[in-house]
Amino acid sequence: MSETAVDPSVRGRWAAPPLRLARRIGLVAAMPYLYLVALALAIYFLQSNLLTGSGAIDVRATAVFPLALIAFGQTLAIFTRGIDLAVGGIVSTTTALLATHGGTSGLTLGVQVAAVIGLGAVAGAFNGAVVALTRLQPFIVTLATWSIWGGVAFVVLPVEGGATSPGLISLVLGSVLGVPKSVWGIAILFAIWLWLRNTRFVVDLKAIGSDEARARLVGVPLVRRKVQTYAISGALAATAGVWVAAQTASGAPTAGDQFILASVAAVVIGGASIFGGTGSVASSIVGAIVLLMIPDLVFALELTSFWSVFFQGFLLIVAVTISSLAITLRVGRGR
Amino acid sequence: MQQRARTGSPDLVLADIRKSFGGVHALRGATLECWRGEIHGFVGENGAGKSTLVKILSGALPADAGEMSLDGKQLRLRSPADARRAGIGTVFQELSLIADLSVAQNLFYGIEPSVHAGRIGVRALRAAARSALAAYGFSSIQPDRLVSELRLAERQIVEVVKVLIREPEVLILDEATSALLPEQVQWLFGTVKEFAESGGIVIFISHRLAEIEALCDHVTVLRTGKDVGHGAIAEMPEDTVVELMLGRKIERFFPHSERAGRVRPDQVVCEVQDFGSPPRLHDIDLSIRRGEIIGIGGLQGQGQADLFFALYGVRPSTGRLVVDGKVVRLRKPGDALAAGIALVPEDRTSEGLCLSLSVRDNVSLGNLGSISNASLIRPEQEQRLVRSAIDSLRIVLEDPRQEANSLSGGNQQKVLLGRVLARKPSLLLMYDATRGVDVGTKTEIYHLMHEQCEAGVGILFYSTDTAELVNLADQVVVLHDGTVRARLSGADLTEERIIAAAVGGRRREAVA
Amino acid sequence: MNVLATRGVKVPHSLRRNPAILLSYATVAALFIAGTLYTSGFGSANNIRTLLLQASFIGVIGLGQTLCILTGGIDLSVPWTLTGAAVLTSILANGDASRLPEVLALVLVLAVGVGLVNGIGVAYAGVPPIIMTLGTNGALQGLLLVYTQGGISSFPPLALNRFVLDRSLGLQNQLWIWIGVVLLGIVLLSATTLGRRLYAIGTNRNAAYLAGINVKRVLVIPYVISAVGAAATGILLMGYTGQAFLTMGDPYLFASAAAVAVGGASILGGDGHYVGTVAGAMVLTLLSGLLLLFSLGTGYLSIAYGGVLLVAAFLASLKLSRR
Repeated sequence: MSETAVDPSVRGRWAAPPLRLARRIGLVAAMPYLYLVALALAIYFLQSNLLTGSGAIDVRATAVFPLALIAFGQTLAIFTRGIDLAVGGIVSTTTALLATHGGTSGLTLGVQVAAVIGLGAVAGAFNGAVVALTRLQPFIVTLATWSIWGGVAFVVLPVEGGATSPGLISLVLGSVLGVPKSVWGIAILFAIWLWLRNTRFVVDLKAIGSDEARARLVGVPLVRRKVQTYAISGALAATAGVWVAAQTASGAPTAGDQFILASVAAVVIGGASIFGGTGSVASSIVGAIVLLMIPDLVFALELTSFWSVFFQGFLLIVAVTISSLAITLRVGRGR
Repeated sequence: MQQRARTGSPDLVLADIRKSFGGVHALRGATLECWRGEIHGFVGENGAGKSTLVKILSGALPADAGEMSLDGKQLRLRSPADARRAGIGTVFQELSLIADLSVAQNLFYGIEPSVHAGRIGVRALRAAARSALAAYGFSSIQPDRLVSELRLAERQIVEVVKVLIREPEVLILDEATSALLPEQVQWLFGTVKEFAESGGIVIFISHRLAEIEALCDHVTVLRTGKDVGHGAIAEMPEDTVVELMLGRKIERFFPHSERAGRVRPDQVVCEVQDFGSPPRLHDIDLSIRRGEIIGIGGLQGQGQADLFFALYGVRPSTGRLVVDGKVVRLRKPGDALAAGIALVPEDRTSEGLCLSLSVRDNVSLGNLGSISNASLIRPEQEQRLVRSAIDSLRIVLEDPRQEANSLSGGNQQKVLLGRVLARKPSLLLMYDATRGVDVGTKTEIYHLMHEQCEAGVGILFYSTDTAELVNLADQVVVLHDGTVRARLSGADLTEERIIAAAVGGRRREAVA
Repeated sequence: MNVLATRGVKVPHSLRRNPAILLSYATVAALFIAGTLYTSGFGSANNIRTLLLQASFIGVIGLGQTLCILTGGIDLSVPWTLTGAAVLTSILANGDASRLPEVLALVLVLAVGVGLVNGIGVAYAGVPPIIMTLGTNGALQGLLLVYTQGGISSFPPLALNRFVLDRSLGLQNQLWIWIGVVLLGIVLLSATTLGRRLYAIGTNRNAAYLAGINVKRVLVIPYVISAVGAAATGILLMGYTGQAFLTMGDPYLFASAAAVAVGGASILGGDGHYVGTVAGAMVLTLLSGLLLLFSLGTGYLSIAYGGVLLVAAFLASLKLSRR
């Protein structure tokens, strides 16, 4: 009877024929790319200059890069069947710090950037430690620390504003060898994933998400991996914060909140299972690109820009419902 | 079976191991002594402490007291990794494979052939997995397939190969044959014998005494957390072993009941025709009369769970189901309960009880309709219901409001039964209902089953214990590959026939 | 308590939940005393009424959140359901009190709709509650931004403001509403079959299913109640402050979750009671009052909420035995 347990997320692991076939064809892996092509075609036919106009790539990449960074870390957390809501607070605190003390602290730019990223890593490591050492679920831990870091951001910078140091802005904007820095950034993230995906680190994360009890039995270092996962997610969130601070030349105490839903949506659209154990960072980055094409689609459809917020939330709901139904419906069809 | 010389002091010693969980004493000073080159059988009922001892020896649990040593060196096992390093390889009953990882990743976890700067060489891993599987004769299992896509038998084999390639000194096999086909069992026996001959120690745990007899040199019997006897296999015939396991003679263990007086031949409480549940269960025909006990037998994973779940509305079903003369369509457990079908599920911890709730809440859970008025609970009605369950089942407790967790395993099972029986079902489905229950409570449950039958209830029960099937059931239906393989009753209803029907038959799904 | 239980010691069922709840009420008392020690005006009847009023908003949202958390979920769509209800009421009524009944009816129906979307997604599609409600929250935010184009210029009818603050029998109507919600919460959880089902689902969903409970259908209810509660809170809050504004819902996400956690409920589900959440709401309100005494503003309040949530959830997780 344990083989036919009622909990859908447990049953879902033992794949039914339709999904086995889908995996064989790589259909699940191709989904985000399909979404991407579909959206691009739609936008092209509606208002092609959006995609081909000058600076089109640059503008998009600048918006995608910070989300891609956060989606990277979020994917790792979701591999372990966790989630990182604290990224919102970490991004906010990072922009707040850079916008207030950036010009005045007397520290060199490099030290500043290292310091905020280090802070993000430490904040993340704390999350990971609490998740690993207590019975608390990741969502409640990171919900609490989201609140804490969001509060810190408010204390540092109560109102949107401040001024990021010009040095930082010029570091982040512009191109290298004719290619916008943001595009380089995204490419580097892809490259990092290509190297990372066959490391024992990622195999361990997927093992933890798939079946934590057996992962422990087999010798996966649970505590170390969880701390590493959330630390990396925190550091990446802080890096995204650096980028956002430079891009907007200011800070805001709620700068990071929008990234929470967006990063989770990117991961879900990218095809990773919300229950852990499967997925790919590359697909999540494609998911981020898909998500950020929605404002373009909205513009091309000549709707007010506020519709993008709705569609992004709506897309998350649809994508995650399809993904969850696929797992739940296997039950009805029998195994 | 050759007799191996047991000379000198034992090579593997577990001495006086004690372990408790809360108030439950799982092990009360169990001792096990094995020599190198020996295949040592380890038997005991469910709940005797075998799994706990295996977990302690595999480093998954710490012992409260007692010493362990291998080759004279003391074993301090704080984690499964410690046990592996000490040379102990365990094939776990529940399997230790990770579903979302591939066969190759599972086989070589931690010992991947090619690792540079944290990166695992994928090609080398695949090749190593392929050659390992081929060496053991299973080149049909693809190394890149996810474990979630394998059948149960294939997974059991991967689990065994996984342990063997780490070249342990001690090989523990915990119910490793439960889903294997006959030829696969022979393969396992051959591999195990080779392992022992080359100087390893094998601990073989099985509830199939026939296998113990065929494979092992020596056997130790565990009962209620203590070893109660051991000896060379020739000196331990099955009757002796069973008597040691149960603590009393088998005939006095099962209640005697006049079948003629109990069964009502004209009153069929449940009938299924062409019954099935995709994808595996099909062409099931059964007829259960009032007062009758039908047993379901067969190897694990042959569709028994599917049958029970389909009869309870958990799984979709095809075919005809008639209860008390009415055709019934089941879409959920509520429909089954309304039709008079009740289920006692296999695992009371994960499927039966809400352990952190009170005994009272657990008993009333399935009966909320009968103790309430317009959704408001009537305390007096509830109290009466709970009292009657406690009294009729003789549940030992201090206060119905205490946590279900605080009761012993046997009493917890009674709480579950109390809840199920309060519904007064016509058909009672019992899936391995005596698992993990002490001998005393088992006997009470057998008596309870007969009581229910005299009251006109029909019982369908599944058990992995062939003795139970033989001594309780009026008829045993053996399932194989999702359908009926044999129906045994009367003089044909013997343990040998049940096992023969379970493992015999057409060759199917031959692996390599 | 549960350590004792596993040793076979009798632990009366009602007392099992009490330690955490008693502790939370003790915290309320301690914080209140601290406040009075710092400044004498803190203990005045006026101040107490104000604090209770503020707590009542968290309290009303807290019922739905308690039910969601009891069943092992959570409702993160509370902020924008709250804001949406307030904004919609304000715009549709446009200062005209006679329109209120129809407007309120419409808003409540929409709230039920939001709750159904959440509930059906969680119960029938198996979507993890956190993701589902996160998505609904975002979608509602988008819809509201489109509807208001980012700004609100209308004001709610004065009648609403008067209703919330008017006193009947010495207490403001808002407090009477909260008392009603408290009674509803107690009856629902302690005396109805629905309450038993919710606890069972939160403790062991499998077992509840096999016992014949229609888990999917029951699991929709907490989310509907939560959405309706959030909408009601939004409307009442708008009555209290006299205006609807787009960020009014933000603090209530952490506040509602923290109140439930402080009240002793386990985030894993199956353990806790609304009576505890009531104390939790008061603890949080006292905290914010105390912080104000020290001139510490929103930022410090967020930090406090997060810290309290973390500590309370941790303490609650310690006392769980085998489920």
